[in-house]
Amino acid sequence: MTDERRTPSCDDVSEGLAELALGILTGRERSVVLEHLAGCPRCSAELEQLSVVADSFVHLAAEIEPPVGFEVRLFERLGVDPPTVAPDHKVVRSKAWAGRGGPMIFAVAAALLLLAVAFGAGWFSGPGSSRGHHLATGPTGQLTSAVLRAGSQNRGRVMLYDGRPPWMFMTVTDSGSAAKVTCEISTVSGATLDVGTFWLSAAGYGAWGASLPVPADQVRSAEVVGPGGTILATADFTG
Amino acid sequence: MATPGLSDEALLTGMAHGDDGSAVAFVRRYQKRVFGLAYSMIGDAGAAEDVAQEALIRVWRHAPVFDARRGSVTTWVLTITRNLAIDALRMRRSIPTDPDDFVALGLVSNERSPEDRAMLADAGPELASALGTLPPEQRRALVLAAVYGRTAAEVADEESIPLGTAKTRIRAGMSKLRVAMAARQEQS
Ligand SMILES: [Zn+2]
Repeated sequence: MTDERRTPSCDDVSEGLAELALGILTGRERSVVLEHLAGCPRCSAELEQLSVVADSFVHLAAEIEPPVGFEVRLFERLGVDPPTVAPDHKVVRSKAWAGRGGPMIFAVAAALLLLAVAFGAGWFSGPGSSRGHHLATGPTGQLTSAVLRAGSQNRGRVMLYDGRPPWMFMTVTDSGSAAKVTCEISTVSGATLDVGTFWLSAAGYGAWGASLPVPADQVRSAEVVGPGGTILATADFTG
Repeated sequence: MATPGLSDEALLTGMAHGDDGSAVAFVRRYQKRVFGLAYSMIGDAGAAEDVAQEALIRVWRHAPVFDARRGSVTTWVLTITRNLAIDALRMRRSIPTDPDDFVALGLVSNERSPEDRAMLADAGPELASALGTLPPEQRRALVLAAVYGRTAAEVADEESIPLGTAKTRIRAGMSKLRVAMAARQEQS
């Protein structure tokens, strides 16, 4: 039973607070929440904290080297005369690769190239490894991705990048507990290969990448194997 | 380059006063993040470049009115980028990147060096780990809302779930992230 004129309580607006922080609340719902906030320091404080969370989502995105010539085109539009370009910074006027319609592959290739440079041996190491940040990248290699599953549960994603060298990376989520796990791949020729070992955090979460011992199109499936040889999740690339 | 050690705010001030050197340094500091965000959202390099260029042009124009009390330069620049990417997606009627791929890509590149983290105010890694602890359906709903600006009704539509469920996922997800990120900040 809703009384239109009843002053909304903290409970009434708690759902709206999250949406307001995300900037997606409109119309009457929005004005009800705003009205409540004007007289409620507790909810105002909560909104502030939620806004910090909402704002941080844009920080999540991949850092990707823009197409060749990006800087030159931008400085032209700004009417800025760039000083002599540092020697390690290649600015080429021609478009090295077709810009329009570039598929997702480019972004992932860039991410994987970063990985390849930073973690030559394969594993995600702790902070301190130097990163290659000035990679010129282009859309080379095919990308395939598959959902990592445990039964019907989604446990993350595995991506295979068929470049030179071929790479794989995966994100594992919600697998339950901290553990040292092994990634194995099954190939189309029936072999099972150990690709590497990594740690899942206390929440059963991990992000990891490594170069592949076989071409990406030879991979039939990838398994995350837990302690004692239990298969925690599988990504099937045959589908 | 004479400016690599200057703070974002100092570079913005330089830009506001028409110093080309500051503009060049600023662009070089931010272009990978701005392009990366646009590309991760749109999945098309040409459209992402348009968005990234427009975003950096707006930053340059609005440098004189940047208000540090309202948040970090990084958040300001990336929010401008995100809003332009949302407009571009609407105008082109194109399908945004899948929320799961958006997060997966961020996880890889957010393993930044400590120097980079010191240079760029960066909540990415904390958020990424906190997001990893959410049920996948809550994570998707949040990315759709927080990154792509989808309302609860639009999330419900895209995920084929009732409106109430979409609202609950958004609220529960935000509430968990708030707790997780507050706990992390206390630790550090
Ligand atoms: Zn209240």
